[in-house]
Parts: sequence; structure tokens; C-alpha cells
Amino acid sequence: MSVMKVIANIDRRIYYGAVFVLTAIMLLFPIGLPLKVSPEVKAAYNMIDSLEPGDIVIINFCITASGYNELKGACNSMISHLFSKPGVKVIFTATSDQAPIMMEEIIANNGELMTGHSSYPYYEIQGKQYGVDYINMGYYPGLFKWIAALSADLRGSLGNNDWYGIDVRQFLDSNGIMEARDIDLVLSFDSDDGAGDFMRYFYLEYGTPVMQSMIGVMVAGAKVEYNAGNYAAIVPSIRGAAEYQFLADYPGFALTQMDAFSIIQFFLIFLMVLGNIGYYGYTRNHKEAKK
Amino acid sequence: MSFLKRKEFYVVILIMVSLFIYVPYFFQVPQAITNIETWLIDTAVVIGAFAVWVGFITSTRREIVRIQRRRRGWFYGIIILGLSWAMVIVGLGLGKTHVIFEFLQRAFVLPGDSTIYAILVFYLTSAGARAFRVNSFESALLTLGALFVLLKQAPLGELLIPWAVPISTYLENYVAMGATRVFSVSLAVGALVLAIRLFMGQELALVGLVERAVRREE
Repeated sequence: MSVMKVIANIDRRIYYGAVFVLTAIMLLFPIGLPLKVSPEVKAAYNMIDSLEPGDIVIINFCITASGYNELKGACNSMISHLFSKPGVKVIFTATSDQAPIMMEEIIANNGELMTGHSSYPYYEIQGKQYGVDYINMGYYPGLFKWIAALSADLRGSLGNNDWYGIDVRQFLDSNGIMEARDIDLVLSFDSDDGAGDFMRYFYLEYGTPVMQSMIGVMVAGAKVEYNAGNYAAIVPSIRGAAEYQFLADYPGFALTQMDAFSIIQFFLIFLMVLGNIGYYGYTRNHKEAKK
Repeated sequence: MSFLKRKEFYVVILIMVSLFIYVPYFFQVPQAITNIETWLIDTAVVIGAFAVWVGFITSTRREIVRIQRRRRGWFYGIIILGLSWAMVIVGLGLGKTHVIFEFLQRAFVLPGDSTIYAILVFYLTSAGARAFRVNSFESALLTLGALFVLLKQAPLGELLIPWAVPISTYLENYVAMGATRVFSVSLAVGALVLAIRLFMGQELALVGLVERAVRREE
């Protein structure tokens, strides 16, 4: 059997095995490859860093479990950075039914239980207390319909009680949160297009800046919106999360994943070349000979 | 109640609703109209939430039939029914933040969904070797584009082959953006055309009247 025939007929299970082994090695023994910070992630960092006391931020989770591992790095580092800004008030919302559980996990990762409490939602994150500095409103069905309703009638669409049934009117009233134009920033973590709807109903209507961190398959579309100025900043997938963790000096898993990410991308390029060598060296000739 | 059977009744509703939704988006209108718009959107959210039940009941019926007739994979139907009904009963009975409800999500939904997504990487690599065959000018362009974008995406690529970065940035910022904007503009124009057709009472498919209209013409 010729070498070309071997290359052209490599069993796909060998590819699968190689991906598994390479990923495992790079995750277990990261080598710390250098990372260049992109302008869009730098813009996201600067935008959060420039938040002033009294600013109101909506953090929306439009994440499903499938995209969670890809977005976890960005969620942790960006929320940690945002909560380090003094006086900033936060409203957590979710437009995916699976998201509340992940939101709780991120909050717990970055905070600790408040004194005298033993369960959700009473977590303190970087000195910010639940009910005083932030609230978790949980899941709202309807996605774009709910975001449109939120834009038209913020208080009515948010409701009076949070995800746990606690009355949050005091929080909303004391921080002057009455209508959509009172929101100073929207940050959406997306495996569906939550930020796109916030952009349409908040940015286009009130000029509220919208930032998005999204899964890999959404990056191309998000970059178009960012380049067009519709998104104030974007943090694309694990790569963006790693860049953000580097900027925010957040020792997270996304930075570690970057080595595996690099190696697998190169392995993919290698396979593309190998596939073409096999095609031209054997498959194509074999097909022509058959004709 | 005979008016409920009349096509005109639904057409009027369609025209009114589309007017109340579209017009306040593009123009300054009195608060009373904005309030109606808000009420309509809120109603859509509520109806959407209830529509989940339609999906759930349909899924239950489908699985019951599959199990009764012992169709291929009927055993999985039992698991689907068991888990989905467990979620509903626990969720409604104990509450959405109860530890058992959260356990069901953490134990079944999250790992299952994550696993399915993670498996993609294996198919992607296999496809990389098989799909990117340079056997025409178009496929050569596609492969070259993919190569440059991959090199830019990987931090190692940026380090080893820095000249690939501006090419990839050009592809992303101009070629991809141009193509995506074609879709965006087409979509926006399509939405406007749909709005106009709704105002004119021409878009009857939305209220399920197309079939009846065709029959009458026949």
C-alpha cells in the first residue's frame, strides 16, 4: 500500500483520538503561549473599567448548557471586574431557561455567602451585597419579545419580585431605576442572540451601550455588529475570555485553555493539508483511473 | 359569535396589531398608543410562555404513541417522559429554586447538553481533513480564507505567522462584513415589506387563512 493511499484513507477515529490526546496534554501541562489582546476585548475592558458610581448595569445570561463552558471564562472575569467598580448597581436577568442555574454558579464562584445566610441569593461579591448592590431577576420567557417589552416598560416587565420571590421594589426605587433609559450598560453572555435584541431595543432606541460575549459560531456576526458600531465591545468565545482574564489579571481557566485551543487549531490546519495531499496523491488519481 | 368565523375579523386584528407595533417603533406617537404597544408585547410574552405547554403536551403524546407501538428507540421515550414529567412536577410542586429541581438540571440537562456540543470538535477536525479539498478555484479561495482565519484565531498562529493577521483582519472586516450586510439589509427590507403587507391585509398566512383563501379562489 502506497504512502499516499494510507494518507487518503486515515480512519477518522485516529483524528478523534489525536484531538482527545492533544487537548488532554495541553490542559494538563499548559506551556503558556503568548497572547495578543484584540482591540474589541480591550474596548470591553475599558468600558467596564470606566463605570462610575451610580451606573446601572444589566447583566443578561442568554446561555444554554452547551455554550456554558465556552463562556464561563468571560462570565467569571467580566463579572468579577464589574463588581470591583465601586457604586455600580447590577441587575441580573436571563433569557434562556437553563441560564439561572449557571448564573447562580458564577455568582457563587465570585462571591461568598453573606453573614447570617446559608443559601442563594445572599452572596456578597467584592463587597457588593445582594438586594443592596445587585439583584437576580432570573429567567424571563420570550427572548426578543421580553426585551422589547423591557425597553417599552422596564418596571412592568421586570416585575416586583426577583427569581426567589423577594420584593425588589426598594432596590429599584432607591437606585432610580424607572425606565429603560436609566440603564447605563447592557452586558449579555450569549449562546443565543440576546445582545442583538438588546442592541435593537436599547442601543437603537436609547443609545444604551451593549456589550456581548458570545460562543464561537456567533463571532463572525458579532464582529460585523461591532465594526458597524452597534455593539460597544465584544468578547469573542474562549479566546476573548482569555484576553479579558489577562487584562483583568484574573487567574482563570480560559487562559489555560488557550494552549489547547492553539494546538487544536494547528492540528486542524495540518489535517486540511494532509487531506489535500491524500486527495491529490491518491483519491483523485484513483477516481480518474476508474473512469 | 359568527364574526369569529369571518376572515375579515382576523384581517382587521392583524392590521391593527401590526400598526400598533410598527408605527411606535419608527415614529413619535402619543403615550396612549405606546401603552397599547406595550400591552400587546406583554401579551405576546405571556402567550409565548403558555405555548411551551403545547410543545410539552405534543411531545408527551408523541412519546406515548412511540412506546405503545414499540417503535425504534421506544425505551428512550420512557426516559424522556419520565424526566420531562419529573421536571414539571418538581418544578410546579416544589418551586424552580428547589434543590431537587436544581439537581435535575445539574445532573441531566447541563452535562447532556454540554456533551453533545463538545462532541462537535471531533466532527470538525474530521471535516477539516475531508471537506476542505482544493479541487476548484472557489474551493481554493474558501480553503485559503479558512487557513488565514484559523492562523489568526490561534494565539500560536499570530506568533509564528504574523503576516497572516492583517489578511485575516481584512477578510473579517471587509469580505465577511460585506457578505453579512447583504443578509442584514435583505432581512430589514424583507421586514419592511412584511410590515406593508400586514398593513394591507395581504399576509394571511400568519392567522392561518391562506388555505381558506385559496379554496375560495378555487
